[in-house]
Amino acid sequence: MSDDTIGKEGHDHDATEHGPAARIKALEQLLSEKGIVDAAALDKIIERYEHLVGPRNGARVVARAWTDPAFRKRLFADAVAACAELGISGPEGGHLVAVENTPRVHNLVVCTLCSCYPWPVLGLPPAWYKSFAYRSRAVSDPRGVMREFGLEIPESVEVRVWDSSAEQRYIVIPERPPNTEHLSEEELAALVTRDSMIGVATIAPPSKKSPRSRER
Amino acid sequence: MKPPRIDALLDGINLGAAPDEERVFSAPWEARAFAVALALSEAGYFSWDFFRARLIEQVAVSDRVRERDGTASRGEYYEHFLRALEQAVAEAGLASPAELARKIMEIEAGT
Repeated sequence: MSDDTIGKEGHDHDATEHGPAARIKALEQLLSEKGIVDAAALDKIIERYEHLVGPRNGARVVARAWTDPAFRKRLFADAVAACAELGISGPEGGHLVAVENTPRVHNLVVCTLCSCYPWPVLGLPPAWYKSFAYRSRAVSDPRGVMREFGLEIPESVEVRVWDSSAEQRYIVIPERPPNTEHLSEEELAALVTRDSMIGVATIAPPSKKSPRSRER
Repeated sequence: MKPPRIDALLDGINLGAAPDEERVFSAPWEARAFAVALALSEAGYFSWDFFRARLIEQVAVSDRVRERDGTASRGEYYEHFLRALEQAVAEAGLASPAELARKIMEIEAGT
């Protein structure tokens, strides 16, 4: 099954010559008949990752880090424990490391081998994060990649690229934008975008009209 | 004034929605594949790391084909994911490729 052949001919009992929808349907049905999986439980998992687990969790972590210096310190010392304080934990949430953007350092996260990503704080990764183009270029040309997201990092700022793995996941803590001193923690969280926590964006100061400015 | 999206980078798979509003799965079968993999690992039939090792292998095969031929003939991420899942399921002794192929035929014949 792990062979490299592209064109297949003949009928060799190989399920992979069918479309993915037919294959997963058959697999689910087979496992369900054997009592190994249960359709309702699968529905619940999908519901959880489509609607409950997502970047709003990470945004809460970032807003807390901006407003509570003691929390910020704990976050950089032990991100797993700090997130648990906010009730955020779950699969793929172990080994989380928070990396800090500063005026001198910008952080960018990738998983070059597959799709490792901190689910509890960011949800499941976007399609581009898993794409060959992003995985193959984020390390060799991070500035070029960020430019394609509309983000220009000045030469004076050091760019650090973090390659995720089974052992280590990353969340970028972006810089707090100017003119946000008057905002509440909740309003601050609303400014934080998913892309800024991966490092392909920074956070724009709030516009007068809408606190949720997320043009990129 | 929208900054240029990274279309060239996205291999045409970006949905163009605002980042936080992109759908998590681009087709229902992707969601089912993800859920089956996670359910099996949560139930202890295999560990997520066991699955991930097979996923990494599938992604690497696809990357090699892409580098060599410049094509995405092995599909996108969730197709690698599904191959890895089928492999993990077979190796864990839950369902063999032959069983799976028979089940597909059965479903096709029945509808």
